[in-house]
Amino acid sequence: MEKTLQFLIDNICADFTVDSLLAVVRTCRARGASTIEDITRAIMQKDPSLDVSCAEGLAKSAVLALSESGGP
Amino acid sequence: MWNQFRTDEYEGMLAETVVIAGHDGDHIHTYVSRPLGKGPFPGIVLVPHLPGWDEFYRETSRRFSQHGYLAICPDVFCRVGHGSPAEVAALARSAGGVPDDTVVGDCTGAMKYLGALPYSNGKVGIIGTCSGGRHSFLVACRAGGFDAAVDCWGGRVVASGEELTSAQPVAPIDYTSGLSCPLLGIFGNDDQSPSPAQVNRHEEELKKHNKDYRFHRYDGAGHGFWYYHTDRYRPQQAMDAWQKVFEFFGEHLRGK
Repeated sequence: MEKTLQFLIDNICADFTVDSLLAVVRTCRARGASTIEDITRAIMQKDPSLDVSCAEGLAKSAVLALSESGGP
Repeated sequence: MWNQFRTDEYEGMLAETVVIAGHDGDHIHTYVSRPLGKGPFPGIVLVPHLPGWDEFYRETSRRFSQHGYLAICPDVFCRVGHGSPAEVAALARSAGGVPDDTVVGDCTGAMKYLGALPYSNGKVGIIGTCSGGRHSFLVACRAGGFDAAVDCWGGRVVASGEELTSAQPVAPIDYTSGLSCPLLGIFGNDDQSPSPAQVNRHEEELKKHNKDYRFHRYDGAGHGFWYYHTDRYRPQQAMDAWQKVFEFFGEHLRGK
């Protein structure tokens, strides 16, 4: 799954590494902001060159990657 | 190339935004930098990447000028609107990216602008990173007049049918037969777009058409490993690749 996430990041040249993207999701969850919309917003704040569609794709894939890895 | 100047020599540079005729004669903004002096200097067109017509590209333009090149970076996002580089990039992304045709036209206009300058040596190269790398290769295949091209980790040069769009209707690899100048490719082996397998495929196509090319692939580097403003930066690989780029452009653009 991390390979897919890496592909998404590279394909749109988002300003993230896999680790920094997963960290955004973890930070959102720790704040209680855990919906895809919340995470998408946080991603766009970190990389404002992304549009909603790109950021939402990253959010969904990052959430999936975390759930598959059994992480928080 | 690094620190290869004399401490007692004069050096000066001019950098400014200039409006030129781009695709279909549209007026577009460009960032132009050049060494001071009568030249003649070779020129380089820089194609900006998906994160926008941004500060990295302005600094990179000036880096080339510091090394004796006329540099021009067209704002290929100009038709989307204006704002901060990130704002405009987000608008361009939501519009499905910039059309390949306008990028080819804008870069051709930039090449003609540089070539017509009185201090030009008449030779012009093209370079881009990320989507700009893809565009650099595409332009070198579709537009004549370039003397050297550098593709830095251009993604989707090799593209499947479902990746094609109305703005980008043809995979650049399908234009390989039209490549009209030597090509240098710079890639990170950890990159997933282009993946090492896609770089292999690109190389096979270049061989098939007997093209003059050199590819350099770096271990321990991924997509965007020149971007010193991000976590992707890999200084050792980046500086080695910069050396390769300066050698390549020096070989093909200087003289005449």
